[in-house]
Amino acid sequence: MARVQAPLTRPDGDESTATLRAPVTLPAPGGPRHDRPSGPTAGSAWLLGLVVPAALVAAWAVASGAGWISPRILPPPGEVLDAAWRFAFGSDTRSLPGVVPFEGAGGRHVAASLRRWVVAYLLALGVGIPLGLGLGLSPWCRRLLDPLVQALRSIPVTAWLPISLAWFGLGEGSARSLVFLGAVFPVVVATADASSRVPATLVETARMLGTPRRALARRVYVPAALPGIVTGMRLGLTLGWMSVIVGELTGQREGVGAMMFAARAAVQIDQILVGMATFAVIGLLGDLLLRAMTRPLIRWSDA
Amino acid sequence: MTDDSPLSRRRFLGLAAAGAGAIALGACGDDEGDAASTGTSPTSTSSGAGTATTGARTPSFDGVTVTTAVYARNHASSPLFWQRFAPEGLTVEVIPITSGTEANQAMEAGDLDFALMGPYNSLIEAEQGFGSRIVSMLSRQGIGLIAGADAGISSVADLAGKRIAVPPPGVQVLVLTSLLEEVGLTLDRDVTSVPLGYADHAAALERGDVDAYMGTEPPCTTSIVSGAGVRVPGVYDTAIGDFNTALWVRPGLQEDGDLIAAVVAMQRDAAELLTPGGRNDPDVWRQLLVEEFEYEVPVYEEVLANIGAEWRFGDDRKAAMEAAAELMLRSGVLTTEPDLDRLYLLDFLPEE
Repeated sequence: MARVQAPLTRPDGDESTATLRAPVTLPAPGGPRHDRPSGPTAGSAWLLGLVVPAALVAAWAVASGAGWISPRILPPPGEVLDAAWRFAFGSDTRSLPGVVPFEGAGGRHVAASLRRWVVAYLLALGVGIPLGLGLGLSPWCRRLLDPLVQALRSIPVTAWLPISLAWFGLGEGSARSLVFLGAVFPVVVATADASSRVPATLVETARMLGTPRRALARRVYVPAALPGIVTGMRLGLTLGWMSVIVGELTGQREGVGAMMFAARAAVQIDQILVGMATFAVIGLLGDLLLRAMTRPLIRWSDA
Repeated sequence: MTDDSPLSRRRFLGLAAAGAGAIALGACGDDEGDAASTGTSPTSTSSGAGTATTGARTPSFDGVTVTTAVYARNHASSPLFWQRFAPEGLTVEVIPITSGTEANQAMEAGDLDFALMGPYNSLIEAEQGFGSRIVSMLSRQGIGLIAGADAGISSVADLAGKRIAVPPPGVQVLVLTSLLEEVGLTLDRDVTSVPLGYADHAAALERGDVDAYMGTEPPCTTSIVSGAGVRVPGVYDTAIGDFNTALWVRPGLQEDGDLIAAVVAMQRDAAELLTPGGRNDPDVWRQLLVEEFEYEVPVYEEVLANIGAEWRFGDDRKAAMEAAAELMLRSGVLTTEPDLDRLYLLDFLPEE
């Protein structure tokens, strides 16, 4: 696809002090922006996306109704919907402190999980982006830390659980450290990869236009790597959310994962399915929110 | 890139230090909702090492929080009632845990002041040199050997050649090993064991993945009520009896006689509420199992015969501990004979 590079000069035309704001690519005049086949419109895409889930639920209802599946293994959809309603809107009449509740406790569980997720994720961004930039931009840093990062990121979050409990004890510290470990490595790897792939021509051009070396990271590398960093942020967000359930194995009374483990111990499959659905919906909403928040940052890119 | 690397070594080290600081900051978490830092300072109540509260002096527990643990929605949940019987000023915090090992570690680290453990974990802990000690019983029964309804198993001897789901090491494994020994069978020689967590037993039996399982409540009763399984009798006829869990106090609190006496009294009162005189009160159990844990009513009605809260720790319980130790020594789980007397701190058990 033909593209032209956007002009790199400042609007005042002073090339000697020009700064490179972003590696902008524009579609060639008169040409199509993409040569992919045209897809459904936004509205119909949403509807199309519901077809397969709806078909699966229908098959589930039929199988349950016909008695092909034991309700102890997979309760019928109606039972799960009823449990979801009770989870969200039921009245919590429990009187004993220390019980992991279900009915009427959806808001509390979701809020607790979200709190863990957001705090640990922000921490993962705070650590992961600088570390990724270091790995991507500094050969010295790469040689020193890349083997360690590659090794650590291969360890499943569940494998960190006993160590986390031993180091941070039962409670919030362990939970957040596990969510952090789930979220940080995708951010590090994507940031390192994106920043190391910034075309040399961009850097040379910026240098030629007078960008000081100390400003290259801010003015060239980070903007050019931003689409890749955002991809890492999205992966980190999802994997962090997936790690929340492991984090809630650390003596938590509140949290969607804590509720699911309590339900599991008592063989309450409908409640487990409600927890899974909650994870799915919140994960999806979180990704949509992050995409909306980061879109202005990478509007110039066709990524 | 090398020529224009924008990060000098100095900058990189600065960034690395900032990152490490951020990790430490985040991992520490905050105090809100942090079970590990609830301001538990029960040692502040120390006012007479090893003295039970039998004298005229009334100990003060103002501002003291005691942390303990239960397995979520499990029958061994009498600590959930402790707060009702707590002395003025004493707050009870109950944390859900998933295994005895977790309880061990948390007590050793000081995250839990009191916790429940069965004989297996107790003895492992003793061999490993952990310093926790038993202060009372906590629960009895609560286990089951469940065979598939169509598996053709009506006694332990029928398990020969069958596949049986076995949970992580605990009282169930001790009882199963003992039962098999009595009929001349050996696990993994005559019976195929399938390692599987408690919560997955009922589904595995229902699917036919295993012929039987040695499990806990409520999954055992769930299988009975669904018709997928039948109870194989005899699980309480071994030398371990119906020992399920005991209550332990962590090292560091064992000199605080006032606190231990208060906690043991709370456990006695909670156990007597649930199981007065050794017989379960169906109304109180209904409140716990149906209203709090949302067990189905048929499960609650059936499970009632196979659970019980307890606090007494008499010679029968000591004999069960000895039997468990012998079995673990014989099977090579323990390598040295444990000093069982060192495990007991029973001076604070109230008179019956």
